[in-house]
Parts: sequence; structure tokens; C-alpha cells
Amino acid sequence: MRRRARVALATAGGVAALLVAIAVLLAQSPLTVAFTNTTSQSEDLMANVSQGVVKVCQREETVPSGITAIRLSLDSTFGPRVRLSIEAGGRRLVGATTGSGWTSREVTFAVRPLKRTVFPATLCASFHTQDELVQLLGTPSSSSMAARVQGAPLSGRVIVEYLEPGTATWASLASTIVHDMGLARAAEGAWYAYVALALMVAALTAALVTIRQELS
Amino acid sequence: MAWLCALVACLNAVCWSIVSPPFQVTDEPDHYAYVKQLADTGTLPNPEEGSLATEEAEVLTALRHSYVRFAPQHHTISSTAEQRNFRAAIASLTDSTGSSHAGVAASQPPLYYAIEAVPYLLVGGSPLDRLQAMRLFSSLFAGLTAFFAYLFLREAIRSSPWVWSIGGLAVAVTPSLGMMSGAVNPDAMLFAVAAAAFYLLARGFRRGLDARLAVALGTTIAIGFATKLNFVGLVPGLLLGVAVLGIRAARVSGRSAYRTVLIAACIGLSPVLVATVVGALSAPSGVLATKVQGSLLDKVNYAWQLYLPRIPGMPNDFPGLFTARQIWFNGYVGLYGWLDTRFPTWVYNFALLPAAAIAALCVAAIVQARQALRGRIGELAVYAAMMLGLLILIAAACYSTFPRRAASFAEPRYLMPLLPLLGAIMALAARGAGRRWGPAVGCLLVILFLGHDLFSQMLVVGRYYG
Repeated sequence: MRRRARVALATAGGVAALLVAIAVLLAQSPLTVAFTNTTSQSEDLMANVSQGVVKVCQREETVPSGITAIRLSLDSTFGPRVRLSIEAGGRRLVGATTGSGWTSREVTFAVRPLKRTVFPATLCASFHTQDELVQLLGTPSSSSMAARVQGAPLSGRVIVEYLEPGTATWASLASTIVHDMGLARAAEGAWYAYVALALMVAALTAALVTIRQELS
Repeated sequence: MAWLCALVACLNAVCWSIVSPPFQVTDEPDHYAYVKQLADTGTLPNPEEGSLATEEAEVLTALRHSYVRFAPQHHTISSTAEQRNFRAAIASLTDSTGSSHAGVAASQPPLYYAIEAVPYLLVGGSPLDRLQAMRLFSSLFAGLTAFFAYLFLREAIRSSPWVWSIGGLAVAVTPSLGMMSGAVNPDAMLFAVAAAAFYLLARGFRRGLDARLAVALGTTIAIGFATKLNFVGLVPGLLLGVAVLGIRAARVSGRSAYRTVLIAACIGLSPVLVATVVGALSAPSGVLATKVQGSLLDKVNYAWQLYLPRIPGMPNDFPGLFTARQIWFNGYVGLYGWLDTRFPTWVYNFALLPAAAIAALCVAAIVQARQALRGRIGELAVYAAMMLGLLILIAAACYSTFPRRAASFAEPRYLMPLLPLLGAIMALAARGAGRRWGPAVGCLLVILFLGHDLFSQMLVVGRYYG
């Protein structure tokens, strides 16, 4: 096969793979919040922990059926490995682990869906930190309902979000995304998204034309 | 071809500037505050604690900045009510001049901010108008970075012209370059200056050091000093490069060559001299002011483990963390916004496959070219010294907050001044595939990088607007 043909084939194959990947992504549904244990928009600091094995538990959780992920409001620069368990009626319903190195203000666990909604359940998260600071974020509550670290109550409950696959695909959300991208901008309008798309296509085209010209 | 790489990088950075919501890129509010202070008052911000200018603080509140930042589950404004509140807040902004507080940006040198003051003053209007104009202007630095990266490859890998565009385009569509250059952040200019420095050194090693190149190198070093403190990490390697070039030139043209070395050094170090004279260096601030505890061995152990696996016998400074993989590799693959936007875990695992293939091809190219590389050991040592200097600087900054924070400043964007070397790796990987398949592999590499960039932008879109 001649060089020009090989480059053409590689370009066609690469672009086709890219288009297939985009199509697969657009056909998927983003996770949505099925239920959360708070209605507050703000998060307060419940505790700072930085030494030893930490086990934080809270009772009276509602775990909806069909969820595929659980999100906890923990904050760390490079968080430790965290184990999550949910128990109800003396039985362990959920066990999940997330690897170390997570960042920012939440940590997400992939879980197997439950067949029915469970209430009341006790959710526990445990981790080991040597010096790295981990912050527990939540909302204020009564002492009896508060989360407990090593058995001692905090000032409130750690925020937990129960996630399930949404019904809308990314493709069907496109018009909403286009609308939202134009909000809170220098000059509002859906054109922001279209300009971004045009720029991306232009950059892709310029790169592909350049590489084909150079390598063929 | 260098211009085409620059065009692609510019388009990409402009796209990132639109995709990233206002002030939702690391430290952007602080960098905006620096420009505002400089443009409004003509004075530099003060590194001490304080609060942002009222106008900027009000915009951040209207954007629900602190609610969205660090919280991937929180999206930007979307409902009609939120939009109505936002419009009302913007319409009633308090027109305030800059504040002397600019957070983490305050200790940085002023050149980038002075340049960004031009679009800030020209555009006027609301802070959002100004921010977008400044972002667009900053995008030009992405073009310069790709331009110089291409020229660097042209000088460094002269025997294989077909690989230059592969490396140049790989740099041009690197997502972190697009994101940082599409925001208000001096990193954008630092990447461009560093790429220029790599190019000039490579040119010197190919064509010899003359007075013009010495002036260019010195000027680049001076601009780097005035752009961002992180440039200090590259300086030992750069000075080593100038010295090696000087020694080589002296073999040909005698002692007069040392005059060119002196020219480069004097011009390059002039900002340090000026800063010392005016007293700007008398009170180090920020990370530089932090008193660091621990012995030299502790620091060496820490720096080693920040990048490489722990050797038995070393105290474990990063328990449960494989730093090379989890901080640097995963961070390079995808960590956007306020370091709060990540791909699903499987993406980072999948990315190991192309990374391993690229590494293998690159090693193959190095093995094939080992004879030629032996004759260029001095040049390679200079690039290695630049890289090592930067790595040590980042480690020193991280150690200042250790052990409370394992690695506060361990962000892959701080390695982006080494982008020309990434371009070289891509170029070598294509060459490593051999003459027959190399061009096709190079084509696939560029498409891989384009895909990485495209999906990174889609990730950011989904996180903020999805």
C-alpha cells in the first residue's frame, strides 16, 4: 500500500472511530439525582479529619430502588480510598469502594441497584488518612439525627445523593444545553454554543487538512 | 505549517473560552482581580489578606460562583428565575475600582496582567464583557505556544520533517493548553514563553550561538521572569543551555563567544536586578514566604515520591496514592474547571493503552537514533535540566503545605511549560513506527489528541450545563 493510501485510510478510520464514539456518548443518559437527604443549597463544614481510621455513619437514610451510584459530600485535595456500606434490618445492602486520589467536594460510588426502596437504612463511610485533610460537608440537624464519627455526633448530616440513569439522552438534552450555555454571559444567547461548535469543527478540519497534506 | 498549528491552537483556545463558564477555571477570579487593580489604579495588588473589589464580588455572587465551584453536582444558572436574578444583579452592580486584594495572583509578576489590561480597558462594559475579551486575548498565547513548539521540533528533529506537524498539532490541541489559554491566567503566557525558550535553545544547538540569538534568549528569559514565578524553575536549565552554547561557540570563534553569553545572561537576569533595586524581592510572599520544616532528606524523599514510586526504606508521604498515575497521568488525561471536573474512572484506565503504545514507539525511535543522540548529549542534558528545575520547583511549593495537604500545587498545568517536549515525544512516536507506517501512525496520533480535546470539552459542557 502506498504512503498516501495508508494515511488516507488512517485518517478515515480515525475520524470514523471518533464519530462512533461521539454517537455512543450522545445516546447515553447522564446520571440524575433520584433522591437526596437535603433540600438546602448550601453545604456547611461538619468536621475536619486528618489522622487515623475514620468511620462516619448516619441513620435514617432512605435508599431508593434502581439507583446506580451514591455521591457523598467529602472534600479533599487527594482523597484516600473510601469504603461505603449501607445496612438495614441487620443486613448489608450495599458495599462499594472508591479508589484514592479523588479531588474536590464529592466522591461517587458505583453501586448495584436495589429492587425496592429501603428505609430506614444506616449508611457508613470509612477511610484511613495519615495527614491529608478530609472535610465532611453537610447540613445542620438535631444531635439525634446527626452523622457520627467514631460514635460521636457531628453538628449535622453529611449530604448524600442517590443517583440513577436519567431518562433523557445527551442528544435529547442538546437544546437545553445550548440554551444554558448562553446564560449569564457577556451577551446572552444560544449563539455561544453554535460558535463553540463552529470553532471546534474549524479546528478539527484545519488539523486534519494540515496532517493529510503533510503526511500524504 | 507553524502558522497552521498556531491557528488550530488559537481556535481551540477560543472554543475553550466559550465552553468554560465565567470564572470557572482555576484561580480566574484572582487573576481578573489583579488585572482590574492594575488597569483601574495603576498599582499592583498587595499579597496580604483582603477582599475582592465590590463589583467583582457581586458578579461572582450573581453567578453563584462558590455554589458551582468544586461541586460537580452543581450546574451554572439555568432556570428563568435564576436568570432573572442574575440580570437584576448585573444591572445594579456597584461600580468600584480594583481592590488591592488579588488572592493567589497577588505575588505574581505583572507583565501578563499589564498586557491583559489592554483588552480590559478597550472593551469596557460589564465584568463579563471584559472577562470574555481578556479570555479571547489570552487565547493568542495558545497560538504562540504551538507556533514555537513546531519551530522547536523543526530544529530538534531536523532529519524527519514529516514529524514536525504531528508534534506541533499534538501540542496545539492539548486540552490543558486550550483550557488555560482560554481563561485569564498567566500560565497561558508562561507556556508560550517556555516554548520560545525551547525553540531558541534548539536553534542555538543547531546553528550556534551568535549575538542575535543571545539577545533573543536573554529577552525570553527576562520576559519569563516578568510573566510568572514558575518560570524560575526553567532558569537553571536555560542558563546551563546558554553556558553550553557559549563553550561550543568559543571553540570556533574564541573568547569573544563568551561576550554573547554575557549578553544573554545580563538581559535575562535584568528583571531580577530591577526587582532587587526597587525592593520587590525584599519581602517574598505566598509560597516563597512559607517556612518549610523538615530535613533535606525529608524534602528529597518527598520530591521523589511526588513523581516516582517510593523506594523501600523511604517514609511513605503519599499513603495509598500512586502519584505518577493518580496525580500526574490522570490529571493530564482530564482534570478541568476548578480541578473538579473529571472523566469516569474507566477513561483513565483506558488511556493507559494509547499512552503505553506511544511510550513504546518513542523508546523504539530513541533506540534507533541512539548513535545520533550520543552526539547531542549536551543538548539533551539542557532540556533535562529545564524539566528537573520545574519538577523541583513544584515539589518545593507542594512541600510548603505538607503534610496537611499532600500535594496542594500538584496540578498537571504546572508541567505545561514542557509542552514542546510532549510534542517531541509525539513526533518520536510517529518516527518510531518506521518509514512505512510512521505517517499513518502519526495521523492516528493527531486524531487521538483531537478526540481527547473534543471529549474533554464535552465533559466540561456536561458538567456545567448538563
